[in-house]
Amino acid sequence: MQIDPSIKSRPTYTPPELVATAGLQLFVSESDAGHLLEPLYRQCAESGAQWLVAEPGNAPGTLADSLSGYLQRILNDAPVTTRLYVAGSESFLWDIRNQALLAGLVDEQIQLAPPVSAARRLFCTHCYTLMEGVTASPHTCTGCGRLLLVRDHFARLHGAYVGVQINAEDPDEQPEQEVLQ
Amino acid sequence: MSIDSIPVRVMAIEQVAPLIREFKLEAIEGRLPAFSPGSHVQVIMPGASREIRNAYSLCGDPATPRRYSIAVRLQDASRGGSSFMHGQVNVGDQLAITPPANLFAPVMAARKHLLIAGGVGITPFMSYIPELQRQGAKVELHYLYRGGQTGAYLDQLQQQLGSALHCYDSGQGNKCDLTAVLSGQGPGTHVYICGPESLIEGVRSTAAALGWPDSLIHFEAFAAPEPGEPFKAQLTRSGKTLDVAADESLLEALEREGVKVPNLCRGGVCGQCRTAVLEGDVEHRDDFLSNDERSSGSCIMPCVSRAAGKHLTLDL
Amino acid sequence: MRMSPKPVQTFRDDFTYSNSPGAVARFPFPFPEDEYRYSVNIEPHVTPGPEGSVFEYLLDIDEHYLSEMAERAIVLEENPKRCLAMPHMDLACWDMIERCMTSLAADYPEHFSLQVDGDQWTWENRLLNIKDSFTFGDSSTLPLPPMEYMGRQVQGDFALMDQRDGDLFLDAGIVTCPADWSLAFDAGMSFSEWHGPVPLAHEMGVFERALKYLTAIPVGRPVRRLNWTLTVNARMDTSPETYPNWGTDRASVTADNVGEKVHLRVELQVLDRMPRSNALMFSIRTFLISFDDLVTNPDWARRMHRVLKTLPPELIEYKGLGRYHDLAVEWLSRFDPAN
Repeated sequence: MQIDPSIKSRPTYTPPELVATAGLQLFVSESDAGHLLEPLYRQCAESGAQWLVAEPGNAPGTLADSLSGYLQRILNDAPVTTRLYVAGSESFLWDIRNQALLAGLVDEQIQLAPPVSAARRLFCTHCYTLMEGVTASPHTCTGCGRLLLVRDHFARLHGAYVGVQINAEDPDEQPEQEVLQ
Repeated sequence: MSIDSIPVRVMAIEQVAPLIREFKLEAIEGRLPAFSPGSHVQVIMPGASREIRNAYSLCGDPATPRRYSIAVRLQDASRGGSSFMHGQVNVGDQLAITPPANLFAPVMAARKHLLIAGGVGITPFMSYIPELQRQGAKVELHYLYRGGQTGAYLDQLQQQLGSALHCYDSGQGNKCDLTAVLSGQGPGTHVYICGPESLIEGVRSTAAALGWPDSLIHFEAFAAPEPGEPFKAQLTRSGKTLDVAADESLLEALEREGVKVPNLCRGGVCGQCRTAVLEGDVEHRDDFLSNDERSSGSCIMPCVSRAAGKHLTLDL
Repeated sequence: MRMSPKPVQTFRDDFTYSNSPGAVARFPFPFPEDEYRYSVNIEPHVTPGPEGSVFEYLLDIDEHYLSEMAERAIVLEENPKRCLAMPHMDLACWDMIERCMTSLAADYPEHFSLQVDGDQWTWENRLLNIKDSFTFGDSSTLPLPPMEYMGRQVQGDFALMDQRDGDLFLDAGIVTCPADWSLAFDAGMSFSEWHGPVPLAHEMGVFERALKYLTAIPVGRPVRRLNWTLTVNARMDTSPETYPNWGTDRASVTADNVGEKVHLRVELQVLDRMPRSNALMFSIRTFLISFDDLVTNPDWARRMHRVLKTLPPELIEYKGLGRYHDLAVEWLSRFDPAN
C-alpha cells in the first residue's frame, strides 16, 4: 500500500475577514454554509452587500446555471474594488473562485472559508473523469473503474484532488478504505 | 554579476522633448535579441572614477526588435549617466548594453490596462501599447508631464490611443486627479505606474484608500544587480591580497587571481561557494544564508555578496 | 563524436532500446557525491559545452532521435491531451519555435535548416522528412498548433511557464516521457504547487530559492540542472496516465534481472528565457541507461551503490523504488570495494 507523503500544495483556509474598503461586498455560499458568512454580512448589509445562495438539489459539482449566470451578471458590473467571500464544499469554493478569475478578479480579492465537509472532487489521472463528494480513499473511478488512491495533491483550476490507481503494481492488493480528513 | 555586454552602434538621435533625448541602437554584429514589452537594458558608460550602468526601458515596438530605442531624461543632479548620454554620445558612436531583462511585464490576462506615466516614465509604455493593441486589449493612458520639458511622443500617442489618451501638462496647470482616474474601474483593470517616486507613492496610496487590491497595482522597479564599491580581499592561507573592482563579483576577482572556489549557480542560491570570513563586515546579497548566519558575519557567498566596507579577510 | 540517429527502437512492449558504447560514455551521470540530497543544483548552461557531451548544445539530439519521435507519436495518438497550450501562451509557443529552430539549424546543420525572409520562414527537418513554409507568429500557417508542431521534432518533454506576480505558471507543454507527473492535472499550477508532492525539499527552502533564481534569468542566459530516478525497463512513458500499464514492471525485478531491467533515468533540464513573451522554456531531456551498461564504468557502479544505499526512506517512497530498492542495492554491492 502506498504511503501518501504529506503534500505542501494542499490549500489551507482561514475564516474570512471583512475588508472595509470594498466597493462591493459579495457573498456566495451553498445553502448549508451560510452561517460561516452571516456575521460578516450583517456588518455590511446596510450598504448594498449582495449574497447569492446555491439552492440544494443541484447536480453535485455543477454550479446551477441560475447561480452561475446571476454571479456573472453581478461580476460584469462590479467595481474593481469588489471583495468576494465564498463558503461551501471545497469544490464549490474553487468553482466560484475560477469563475471570478475569468471575470477579472484576482485571488487577493477572494476569500474562501474553510470547507464545510471533508468531501473532495476527484480527478482520475488515467481517464480524466471528475467525481464529486468523495469521502474515502481508495475510491472507484466512475469512468474507467480503476481503484484510485485519493492523494492530497490539489489542482486549483480543477478544484480537485488527483487519484492514481492504488494497486497498479500489484493488482491483487486489497487496500483498506480510509476516511478522508 | 557582470553580464556579457552587446556592442551596439547609435543609428539615430532625436530630441523627443526638451529634456529627453532618444537613441536608436543597432547591433554591430548579428542581430539584437527580440524583447518583451516592459523590458529594459543597462547602458554601460565610462564614469569619472568607475563604470556607470544606467537602466533604460526599451521604448520601441517589440514587433520591430532589431533596432532598440531608449530615451534618456537629462537629470539635474546627474551622477554622470544622463549628462554623458546627452553630451558625449553622437550618431555613429559605439556603446555597450546588457541583454534585455524584464521586471515590468504587462499582465496579459488583464481586461484593461490603465497606464499612468510621469515624464520620462512614458518609455516602458511605448513598448506596451503596440503589443497590447495587437492583442485587442483595452488600454488607457494618463500622461503627466511638464510641457517644455518632458512631454514626449504626444503625436504618436494621440494616433495610437485617441480618446484613451489623457494628458496633464503641469506647465499649463493641468493636474491629474488620481482619485477620479482610479474610481469607477471594473474588475480585471490593472494599473501600471512609471515615473518619479512621488507619483508612484501617490497612486499607490490613493488606490489603497479606494479599496484596490495591491496585486492590481504594478510599478517599475529597476532591481538589476547594483554595481558595488571596490574593496580589498586578503586571503590568509594563500597570502594573497587582491582588489575587487566595482563591476566584478568577489568570485570573479578570486577566479581572476587563480583562486578556485567551488561554485555552481553564480547567483546566490545554491550555497556552493560559501567562504569563511575572518575579518571585515559583509554586505550580504544572497538568498542562501540564514539570518543568523548573516548576522554572525562569519561567512560570505562571494558570487553575489561584497564587503560592506573597504576590506575583507577570507579563509582562502 | 556526434551521435547519428539510428533506426527506430522501442520503449515499450519488446523494449528493443539499447545504448551504443558512445551513448554510454556520454551519459550524464548525475551524482557528484556518494550521498544524494536535494539542493538547488542549478548552473549556467554555457554553450558550446564540452565537445561530444550532452551539454555541448542548447538542445541535445542523439542516436535515439528517431526512436523517441516515434514513441512520442504513439503516445499522442493514444492521448492527444498529453500536449496542451492555454490560449494566452501562443506568443510563448512561437518564442519556443524560434529558439528550437535557430539552435537546431545552427548546431546540427546536417539534419536541420532554417530560412528566414522577414516573417516568411522555411524549416527543414531531414530526419523526419519535414519541409514547411509558414508565417512566423501566425499559428494558422502551421500544420499543427505551435507547441505540438515543435514538440514532435525535439527529444524530451517541454513546458512553457508564464511568469507573472513573481511566480511561474505551467501553462503549456508537451509531456510524453515524464517521471510520473501529469500535465493534464498540473496545468495552470504555480511553481510551488506543482512541486507539492516532492518530500523534504520544501522544508529546506529549495523551491523558494530556486524560484527567485529562475524568475531573474535574462534572455541569452539559460541554466540547467540534472534530476534522476530509476525506471524498470527502458520505458519512456512513465506517466500517471499510463501507470496501470507499467506499474507491474516494478514488481517484476528479481535478483537476477536487476542489471537488465533496472535503468537509471536522468533528466537534463534546461531553462531558457523566451524574449517576446517573457515566458520560461523548460526542456526536460530524458536519458536511460541499464544498470548492466552503467556498471561498465567502475566509478559510476560504486557511486550508484552508495547513493542508493544511503537514500532516505522518503525519497525511496517518492521515487517509487520501494519494491526493488533492496534488490538493486544488493546487486550493486559487488561493484563496491567498501562493501
